[in-house]
Amino acid sequence: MSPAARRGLLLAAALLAAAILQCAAAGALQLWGAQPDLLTTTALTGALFCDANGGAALGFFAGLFLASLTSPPHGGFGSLIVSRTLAGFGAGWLEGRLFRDNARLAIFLVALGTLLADLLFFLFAPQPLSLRVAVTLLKTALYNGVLALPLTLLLRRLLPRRDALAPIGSRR
Amino acid sequence: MHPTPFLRRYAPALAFLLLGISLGAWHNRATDRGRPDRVAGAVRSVIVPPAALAGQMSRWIQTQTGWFFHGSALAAENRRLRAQIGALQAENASLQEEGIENTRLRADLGFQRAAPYRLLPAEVAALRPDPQYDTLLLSRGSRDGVRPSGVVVAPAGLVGRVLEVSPDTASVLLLTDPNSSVGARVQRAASRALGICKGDGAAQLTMTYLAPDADVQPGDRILTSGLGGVFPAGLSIGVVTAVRLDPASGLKTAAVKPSVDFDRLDEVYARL
Repeated sequence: MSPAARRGLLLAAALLAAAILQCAAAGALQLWGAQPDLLTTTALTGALFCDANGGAALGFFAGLFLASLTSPPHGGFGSLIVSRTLAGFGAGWLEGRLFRDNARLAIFLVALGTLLADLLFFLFAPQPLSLRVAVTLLKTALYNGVLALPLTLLLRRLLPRRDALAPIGSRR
Repeated sequence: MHPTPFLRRYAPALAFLLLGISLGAWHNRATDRGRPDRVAGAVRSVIVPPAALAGQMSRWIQTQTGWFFHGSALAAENRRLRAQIGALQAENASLQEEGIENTRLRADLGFQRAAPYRLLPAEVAALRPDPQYDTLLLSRGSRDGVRPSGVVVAPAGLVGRVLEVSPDTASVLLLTDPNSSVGARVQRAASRALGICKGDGAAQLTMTYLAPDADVQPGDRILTSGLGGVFPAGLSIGVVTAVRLDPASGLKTAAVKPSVDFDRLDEVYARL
């Protein structure tokens, strides 16, 4: 199997595992009223190991899984998918320029990416927004950021090295 | 070397974006017509079975190890629950007698009989899969008779209403979600004040549109009013914890603690 195919398969498996964990254990992982969004975390962290197109693909599937599990009312289904696709695209695009292989910066990237995805979601499908909802969004973003560190280190060990995918000097 | 045009370089990302928009439109069209979204149903059929299995295993482990971590607390709770069962059995016998009398009197007066219903036990496969929404996913669907806008209850009271069904799963909007609202009434015979209970993503509900002279007090039990057509009358919503007068609208607003503990829902019942 080629390194690129192996990377794709591993990231797809990670996303599926995140979806199952999100269903089975996200409630049990609540801390100080914050619940992690494991799908968005995995998509944004996975985007750190891809380019912009790969990040968009991860974001798309994370959004599709999340929307299918939630069935949000008032047009939220498509908005969830589009917001995650754009956030994944952004993470993949930035990674190629700024965040290459920096696990600590991944924390900030995932937290900011989660916030961006949620803001885009509220822009596309306006929901009743209160202070409590805003605080919940902020807590989720911070929680996702914290989870990004172990996930980045794990993916870095599991995924094939970047130089096995693209020869040095080639365009990304 | 010529720079690759933006559209060509990011064509896959744009394709995913367009696909997302199309899937959203497809989903809205299907749900507006009361039909299941097959794409969402297929995704759920892949994710829910292993998630439900993982949830069952987690609950089994908690049950088996619970005595180790909470031994003395469990024994005390057991004693309290046994005492409560005795009191509830006595109350139940009395209520059954009153129910029979009520049925007879309603028949004598020619009142319409309440439609019979059946409660379908359903396991919670996922609780709040997206932290932004207070929803849950049931491992029962249209094959079991669950329908969109169906009512979901727990032993303690009302849980919410069914948003969407696929053959094997159903998603439920919880009472605490900001998109949720239900016609409500104070149970106390001297009051019977009407209002609307809304969620705002917090642990408590807000009962609004209470008349300025509505007799609502902390400790009052709130039930569904049956007005609005979605929820039947008489389901327990919660208990009033505080009442205030909104100076802007001149209406009263009450904070209501839900009867159901939405963080500990393992099994619920769909009313068929």
